[in-house]
Amino acid sequence: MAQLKDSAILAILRLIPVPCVLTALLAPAQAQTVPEAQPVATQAQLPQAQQRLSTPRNSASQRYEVNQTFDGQAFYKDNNVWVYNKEFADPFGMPAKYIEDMQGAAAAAFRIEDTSYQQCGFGGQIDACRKVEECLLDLYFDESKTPLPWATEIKSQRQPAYASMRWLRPLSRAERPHGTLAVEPAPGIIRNETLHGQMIPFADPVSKREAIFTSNRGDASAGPEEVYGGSMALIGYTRNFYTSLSVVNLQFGCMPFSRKTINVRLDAKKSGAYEAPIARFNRLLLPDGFVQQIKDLQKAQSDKNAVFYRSLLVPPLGTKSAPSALPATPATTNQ
Amino acid sequence: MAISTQQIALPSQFSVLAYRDKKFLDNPANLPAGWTVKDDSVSPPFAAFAFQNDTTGEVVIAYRGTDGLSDGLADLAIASGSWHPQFQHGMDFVVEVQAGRTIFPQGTDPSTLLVTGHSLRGAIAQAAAQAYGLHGSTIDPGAALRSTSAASTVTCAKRVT
Repeated sequence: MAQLKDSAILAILRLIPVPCVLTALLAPAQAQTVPEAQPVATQAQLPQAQQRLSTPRNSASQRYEVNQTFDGQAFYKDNNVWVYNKEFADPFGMPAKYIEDMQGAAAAAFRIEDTSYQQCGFGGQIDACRKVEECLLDLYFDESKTPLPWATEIKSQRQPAYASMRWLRPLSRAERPHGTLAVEPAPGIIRNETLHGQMIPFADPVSKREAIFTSNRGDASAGPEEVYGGSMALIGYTRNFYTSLSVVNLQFGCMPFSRKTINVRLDAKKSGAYEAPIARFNRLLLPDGFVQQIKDLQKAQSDKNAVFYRSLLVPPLGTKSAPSALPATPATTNQ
Repeated sequence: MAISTQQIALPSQFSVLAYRDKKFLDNPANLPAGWTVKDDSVSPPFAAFAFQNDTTGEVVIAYRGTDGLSDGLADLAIASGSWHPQFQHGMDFVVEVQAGRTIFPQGTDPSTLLVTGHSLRGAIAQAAAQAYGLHGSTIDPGAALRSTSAASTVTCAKRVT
């Protein structure tokens, strides 16, 4: 039956001049009044679909705004907050609204990352668990303008946020004082005496001393040059990630920032994070719009944690509840 | 768990040191031998520091006690057994220190992490000890004593300031 129908259609088509056939094929949607089989996309979605097909896409955020715009299809949503200069925004198609006058870096991206493992045993309850989160900051440097003091030939390294190796510890701390995942520095490079850098790609070329990242993210009443919040752990880097752009990945705790703007420095220091530097290298300023976005994320995380912590205390602080009013198992999982 | 006098005395030293300004603490010569400051959270009126023994890896978190009128609301909250954002700051700081890869390169070891504090923030230290099951000692720690019951937290009812 279907074959007969197809043959009839073909016979009719042979009688129609060729230009008419082309016109019919090019404008099918408007001509159909009641299609026999409804396509998944509605008539209203067709322009979006046509636009999608005509727009270059890939899954690597080559064109950020295209990939981060909902067009009816499932997509991977970036959870970073960004700030960047115009030179960075253009090649990647980044939204203009996050362009700011970055000083010392081309771009920065911040996110709170779930490490995928949990911390359990809160309040003496084995199954009172909360997910462990880390605050991460990626800094992009255009090395044609702000070169980094490289002290390694390795192009890219990254310490995993989570690996089974994390749980395998030697009997004696002295055996691997910097941890089993630490990468030893290049020959001649000297570690900071009291910090446990996991990789040491930067150093002062004169003294050969490791360079570390610090910031003034703490006390808002202190001078901008003070170091607050200890060191920011360097957990990865990629040299020349794209043309002259290099990226470093920093990790730190999620205590809410208290300053309007934050400066981050890369300095060589003999010991610890707080002493005066032997040599100064890169400095950058995270502008207030970006810092405010970070603060909002940190506050949301802190508020979520507060609910969990309050449930642990006996009686829960702020409720004055009698112990009998507590749930049978105060153990909760902070998902 | 039995806690030695030394284990009580050492954190207590840091709870007193936590009243000093950060520049003073940044100088290792002002700290017990072998210890350095590794992290801080100074967001007035809240202040806390993490000290580490660079040989043993042991870490002491010390919360600064009441140091001005701006702590009045927190003191009142603790006296009435209610929640105050400074408790949250105190908890957040434990998370921050534990997450510090340059402090705990192999991941956190709770047996080497102690908490301490005097007065107002002795109460916060107790709350942190209760939540995380950490050891430590507090000095004259305010009314949170009745809100928390960490068996391993020792209270020294002696004024040191």
